[in-house]
Amino acid sequence: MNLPVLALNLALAIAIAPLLDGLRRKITARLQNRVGPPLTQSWHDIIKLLRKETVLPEGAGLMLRVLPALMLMLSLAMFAMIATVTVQSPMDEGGIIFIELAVLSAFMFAIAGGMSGNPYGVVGGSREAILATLVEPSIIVSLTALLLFKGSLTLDDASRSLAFGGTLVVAAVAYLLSLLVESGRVPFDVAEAESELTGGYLIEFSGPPLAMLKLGQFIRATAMYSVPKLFLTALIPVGVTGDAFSIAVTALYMVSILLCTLLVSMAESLNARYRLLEASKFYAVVLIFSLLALVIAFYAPGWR
Amino acid sequence: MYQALLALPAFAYLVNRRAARLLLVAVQAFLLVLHAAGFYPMQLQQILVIVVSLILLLDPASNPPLIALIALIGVTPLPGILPLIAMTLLLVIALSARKSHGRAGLYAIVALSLTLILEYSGYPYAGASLVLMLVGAFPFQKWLTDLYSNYKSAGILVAFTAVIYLNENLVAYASVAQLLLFLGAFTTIVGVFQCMISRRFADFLSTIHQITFGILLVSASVVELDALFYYLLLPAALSLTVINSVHDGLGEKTGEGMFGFGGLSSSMRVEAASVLATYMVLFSLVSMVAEVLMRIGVEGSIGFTLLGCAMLFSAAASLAAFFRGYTLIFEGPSKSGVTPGGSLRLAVALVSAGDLLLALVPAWSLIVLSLASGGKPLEFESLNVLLLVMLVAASLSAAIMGGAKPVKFKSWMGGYAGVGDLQGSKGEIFTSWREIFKLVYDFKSPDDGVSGAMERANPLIILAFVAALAIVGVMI
Repeated sequence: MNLPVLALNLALAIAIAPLLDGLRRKITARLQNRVGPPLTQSWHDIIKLLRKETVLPEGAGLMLRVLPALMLMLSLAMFAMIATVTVQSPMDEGGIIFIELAVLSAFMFAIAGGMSGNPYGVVGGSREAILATLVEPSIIVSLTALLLFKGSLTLDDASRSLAFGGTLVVAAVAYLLSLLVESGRVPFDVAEAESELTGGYLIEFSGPPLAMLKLGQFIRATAMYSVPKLFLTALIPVGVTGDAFSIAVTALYMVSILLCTLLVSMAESLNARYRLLEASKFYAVVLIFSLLALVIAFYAPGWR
Repeated sequence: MYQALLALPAFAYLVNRRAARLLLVAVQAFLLVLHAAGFYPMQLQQILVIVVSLILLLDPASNPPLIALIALIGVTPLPGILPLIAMTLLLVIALSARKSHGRAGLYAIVALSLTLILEYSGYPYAGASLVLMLVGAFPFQKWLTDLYSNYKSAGILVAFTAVIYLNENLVAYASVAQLLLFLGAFTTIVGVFQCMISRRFADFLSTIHQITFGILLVSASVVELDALFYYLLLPAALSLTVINSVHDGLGEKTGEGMFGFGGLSSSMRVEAASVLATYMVLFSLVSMVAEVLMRIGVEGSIGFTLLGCAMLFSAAASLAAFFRGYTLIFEGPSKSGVTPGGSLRLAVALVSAGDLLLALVPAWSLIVLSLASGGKPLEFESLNVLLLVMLVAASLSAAIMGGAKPVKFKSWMGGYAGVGDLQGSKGEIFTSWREIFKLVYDFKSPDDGVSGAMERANPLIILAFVAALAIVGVMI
């Protein structure tokens, strides 16, 4: 474990994750011919919440109290696995644990809603659980296919590999489509009931716990946006080594998170809303893509 | 020869229950003394079976003859002439006990006895019926739930004995390793699905049993997972046994079932700690095995990779279902306002702390035991990171939530569901699971029909049928 890099990574996560959310809101507003909030708006929201008092429902149990911090820590742990502005990530391993943390944190939101005892919270949590149930298998399989293709379980080795092939393309498509669902935005959103349904799981949280949940959500999204860097490294020419390679990888990281932010904003602005259970056909297609990537990785060496 | 003494308490039970319990404790203590004195050397697994059965006897609801019989099978070396004598005794006792002890325990005994016969006759797949029944795989699921409903402690000991038996006889199953692997993964995943919709503690325990067995079967067919068995599964099974026995005893003392007093009093958090601890053991098991399978899978097996992915997803998804049920039952405003006194409060705190400590056993045992045995510690990155994350999160929460202000929302908030409400409705997430996986849950297995037919059949007829199969198998 590289502690200085870990500290740098975590500081970066806390700094840029709310800014990326601000960027998403700005792009969405521009696409809808609005001015939109400033880029730092999400930061202001979090600071405001941190200054407020904490109010809990009567009889709030242990899990409701621990969950916001747990959510934040899970997201930070995800970010700790990724090489951001350095070529090497702070943790030596990271492939499987990154997948596990991603899936666990997705279900944590569902738990948060169910635990508050509030009917809106329960409905919102239930909705999150359905979404996670439908989309997380695709995330797991597509990321596993990617690691298989790169021939290593460590994210560092995977990002150093410049290999390109059919698995990479199919896994990338599946992962990016899954990201749209993960983001929880339109077409998988309910704009008319934002706080009751889509954000229902947050309804009983306030003050610093809510700030932690929101920050955790932003950091998790940024960590997920970082993964496409592993697909993009295939674009680096084979002869590039040393400092030039480091600069290229860092640049691709920036491209990756900005590209994903743009993709989610555009999907949010340019699509009509799906009904939740209708969207299952979409998820089925995404899962098929993921499985296809895995099958190619194992059985079609020519396509790899 | 000495282990035949274990049959005595079973006979004594027909005359006097209290005497049977005391006799069983005495016989087991005698066996341990004989071992210590060097007259009757036992292997570690055999000692463990005796220790577990002694722990189970703490539970007043336990059934001494069942425990004695299963312990007997657990400590009997295979193959040998003694198993045949023991088997005869078992059948006699089982048939005698039939009227008063129901069929579930009876079938467990018959399955174990059959395994002994088949083993002795050299039948290649001797453990097949035992495995199917003890795993609770189709078509035996109903039996397992029955076993946990009526004889929970016996169920745990059966599980433990079967775990040891199977591991001792791994070589015998080498030819069906792939089948075991499939069955293990299938059983584990079915167990997780059932766990999500379980509404009785008996169901919850039987699904945990299924999951543990599924993992065992997976580990039985993969050489690389041998350390997992010794350093993880055995400690996990032991910690589960202790947790469940202590809480069975508590439930008996207070006259309330597992879902009873935990949900009715905000102060009695013992049951909540027990259920949480049990789940943590389960979660550790499933996520560690998922990681191992994925590591093996990446080396070149799509089957292992997919199994690992499925287990990883099942572990994470079970979190949502478990905590939904846990919150409904154990958290929220008190329904009865029972306020225990100082000494009871201390006892509650101690038992809860003990439970949660036991829940960490599987998480650390793998590292500690592998180090203690002089081997290289097996590294499980996910579990280490998760433990660290939970530790930091708990500290952070304690710091922030210390000054939290509780507010009542009774005017519009329904509050938490009570036990009756939970049993009357499925709960949102459970309903969603049923909707999403409608095809899976709607699948009508002939479980009930087959189990019903088997229950109506005389155990001796079943025994004769399987013995005939064994003879045919040996002839072929």
